[in-house]
Amino acid sequence: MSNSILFPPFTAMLGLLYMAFADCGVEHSWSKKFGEYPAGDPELHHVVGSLYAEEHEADEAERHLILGTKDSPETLIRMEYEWYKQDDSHTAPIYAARAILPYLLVANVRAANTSYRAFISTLSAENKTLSVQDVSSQGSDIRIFPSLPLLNFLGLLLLAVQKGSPDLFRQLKAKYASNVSELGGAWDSALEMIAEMYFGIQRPRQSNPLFDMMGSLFGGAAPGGGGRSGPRRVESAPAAEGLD
Amino acid sequence: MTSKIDRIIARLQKRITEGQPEEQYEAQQETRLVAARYTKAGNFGAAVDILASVSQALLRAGQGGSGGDLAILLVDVYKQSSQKPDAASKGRLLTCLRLFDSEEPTRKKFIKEMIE
Repeated sequence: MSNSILFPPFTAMLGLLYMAFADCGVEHSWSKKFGEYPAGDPELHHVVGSLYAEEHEADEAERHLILGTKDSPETLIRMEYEWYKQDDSHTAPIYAARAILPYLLVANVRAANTSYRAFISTLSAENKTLSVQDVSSQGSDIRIFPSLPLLNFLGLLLLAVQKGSPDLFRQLKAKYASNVSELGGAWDSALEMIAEMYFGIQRPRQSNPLFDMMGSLFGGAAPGGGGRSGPRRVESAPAAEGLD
Repeated sequence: MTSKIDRIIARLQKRITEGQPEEQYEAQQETRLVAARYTKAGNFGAAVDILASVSQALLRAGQGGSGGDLAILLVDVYKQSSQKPDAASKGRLLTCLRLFDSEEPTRKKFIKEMIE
């Protein structure tokens, strides 16, 4: 696994989200200033992102398609999958995660799910010999790929998000800890933020204004801010409204 | 009034499609001046029409630098006139966007002004 594929997404994504939502004192682009979407007009993001995807400018494509329309996940996953095909077969989850985790970070659960399903259906269709087990668990069907544990982790993570189940999330993190740690920390900050956003699991405190800003933006409570307990699920966030 | 703007646009487009690079450059400069005059007079609709049409003509003619410059100016007029993103205002920008060569340096700035 090359580091360039592992590492840019989340540092870049955090920077992007900061730029997208924060009032940094820089002059806003036209669609942010005069449109109804604080992160910029979804349709413009979709067209710009699709253009970059056609040109194989992956980083640029990602940052726009994550903030796009309901058509964006398919376009993004098609690009990620094409990119993945040039890499080793076991790297599939890394490419799928480049869509799934950022969509979760912008509170677009539907787009994260669409991305996951599109990725595994293409993967199954193009690899007839890939071993697959369909498992029914707690009323949900899950497709398990024994050779791709981190892809299973992503599928189960989405299940936990939809169930709003902190217990399921904790079990998953424990079960897949060694697989996740093989990524050298690449997913760690994204997973910490997802834990807080969807399961109300407090992040280790950091004096990082970016994380604090993101936390408050997506509904994470301020530390010591009253006795609310239990999951603080994100029902909708600024970016998600235009996406469905 | 509208027909006057249409005539100006048609004349500028003709100079771009038929003219040499030097004439195309002059058409761009003239467009800047005319658009600035309309903007100053508060006639944003006329400024937008001229900038969008001439920008697209220049981009089609392979004059990415000049066309990009006017496309960026178009976004600026949207800002000055508090234009909201709607089908028509976005459509003009997306038409420009698709006409850019991917290597054209002004495209990045255009995208930035539009959305980033």
